[in-house]
Amino acid sequence: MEAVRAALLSFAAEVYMSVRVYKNNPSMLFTSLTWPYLMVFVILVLGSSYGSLDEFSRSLGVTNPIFFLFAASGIAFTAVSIVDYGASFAAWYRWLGVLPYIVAGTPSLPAYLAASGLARSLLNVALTYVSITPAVILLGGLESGVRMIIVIGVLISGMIPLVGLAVVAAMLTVMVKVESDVLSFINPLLLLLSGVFYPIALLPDILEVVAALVPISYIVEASKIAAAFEAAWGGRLYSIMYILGLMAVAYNLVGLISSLRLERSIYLRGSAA
Amino acid sequence: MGSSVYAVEAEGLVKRYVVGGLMRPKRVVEALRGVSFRVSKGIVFSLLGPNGAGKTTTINILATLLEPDGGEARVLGFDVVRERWEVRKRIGVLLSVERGFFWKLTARENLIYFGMVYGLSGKDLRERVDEVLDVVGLNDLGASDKLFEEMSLGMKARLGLARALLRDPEVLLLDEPTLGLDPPSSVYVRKLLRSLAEKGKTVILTTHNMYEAEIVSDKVAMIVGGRIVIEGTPQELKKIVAKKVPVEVKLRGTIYDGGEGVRKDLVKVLGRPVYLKFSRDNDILEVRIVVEPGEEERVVEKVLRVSQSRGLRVVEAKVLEPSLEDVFIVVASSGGKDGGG
Repeated sequence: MEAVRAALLSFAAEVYMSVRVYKNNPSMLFTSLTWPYLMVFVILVLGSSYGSLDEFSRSLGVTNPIFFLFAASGIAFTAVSIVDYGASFAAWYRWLGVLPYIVAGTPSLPAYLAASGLARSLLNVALTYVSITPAVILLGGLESGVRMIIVIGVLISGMIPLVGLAVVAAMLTVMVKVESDVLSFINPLLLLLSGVFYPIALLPDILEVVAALVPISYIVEASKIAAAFEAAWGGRLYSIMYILGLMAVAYNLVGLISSLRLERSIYLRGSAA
Repeated sequence: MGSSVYAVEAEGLVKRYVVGGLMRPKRVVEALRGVSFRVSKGIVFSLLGPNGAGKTTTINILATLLEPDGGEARVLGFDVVRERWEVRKRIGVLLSVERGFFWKLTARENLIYFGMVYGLSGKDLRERVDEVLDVVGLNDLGASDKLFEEMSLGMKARLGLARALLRDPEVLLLDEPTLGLDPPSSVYVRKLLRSLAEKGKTVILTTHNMYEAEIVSDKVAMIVGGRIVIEGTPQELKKIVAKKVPVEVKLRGTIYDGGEGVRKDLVKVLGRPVYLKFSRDNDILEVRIVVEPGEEERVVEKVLRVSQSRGLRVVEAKVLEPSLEDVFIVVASSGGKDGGG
């Protein structure tokens, strides 16, 4: 009970801290809200030099390419954020020197890392979608807005299986005791296997199998279903949610067992000090 | 467990670190080599020693951040390894006065964040934050709503103490709480530590400042090379050197190695431990030697000869009152060489 309360309060603390940092640092808020637009702008400018928007829509199989680009950019980066925000924040907290004070004040380091990582990721999702929703509604109408909400729901559900992985990544970052996020290499791999920037069907067979085990590939699939305005999308979304639910149980169990082993190692090495 | 007449008990603590690896040769450093001590409740206890003696390693073990390779430690009767959470609920920690906070949050916001992480919430949290800001004087300085990045080092030290006090802990573990502070801030922190002990809190601090240990502590343990070499009240320890004469000679000149070469020469010539302090600001090397009564002149002459051979000029030579610094000089030679942090 004490550990659950501590995890909930850690979640609240992380939200509080992030909101206050944005309040005290408005330029950071501005860049957080504008990056999806910069990203879409760069992709459109570069992409239009190779082909028209119609060709782009046909090759991707979407009816509204700009909507898809906004959604895909948001999805790509917020989907990996649970891992990124877990591991890189652990490194950043060590660099700031706050990590030992957190560790010396919580009943369970893995529980803290899970709760705080989830809080940061959800805030990141919220910020991204606050940023892109006006553009999506403007370009695709209210229906696109509704579909965006569905995508957000899938996205948040898709984060849950990754919480365990995020905690393991964060604990490894703490354990190796370096002031940088050595696990950043995971993100490009996750992005490649997600199908956002490179179709999974074009990957080698072995990577296709691996992609089927990566929750983000299902999130991207769900977003494509929503973005393509396909008929009968409800049934397919239901299947995706079911797979994500199974993954959440399996992956978090593995994450829990791994993180308990890593916690002992952290204290033996003095990596949290 | 959890009932003990002592605030802290350490028995035979051993800690080894493996350093190096990859491109550098690996070697094992023995940071602690069987550290044992007991601290009664409601006192200020100082772990005194040079850099690398094992002070920080000891504090990290007591703060549950590091597991020892051997020995045991208990805080208020709770084992620091097996009953980690029980220990954490009862301690407040300060590990560095410079770092450890979010730069873009104010003092109050930082304390609210850590208060939540420590299990406080709602009205209790806000009241407690206000209380600790009062206790450390940040409210009086008008610094409670200042961003951490805009605070002076003295304010940061006070904020660190405020965080350590957030949960109203029975035991405070403070690693060099006055390191780098200006004299008024150091005086404030020392007074605060004394007042906390008077209110029943047990304060365990590390320092390499002999003067600080002498004026603030009820009990002192000197740690050298991962071993406690002597332990007692400052008065008890000073009895060791009561009949000895500390001599201080100040030398000026070009010194490249922090005085290590001079120290080696002096130890060779005098055949006894020599304590050095080198100030880069004015290129002054303070040499302190503890001698028997009547030996003063002969020792100063030898120091003169060594300094001349190294091209250094004697600025001042005087006889001092014995202090903890001299106890350290006398007992330090019994310690080892390897050490931790």
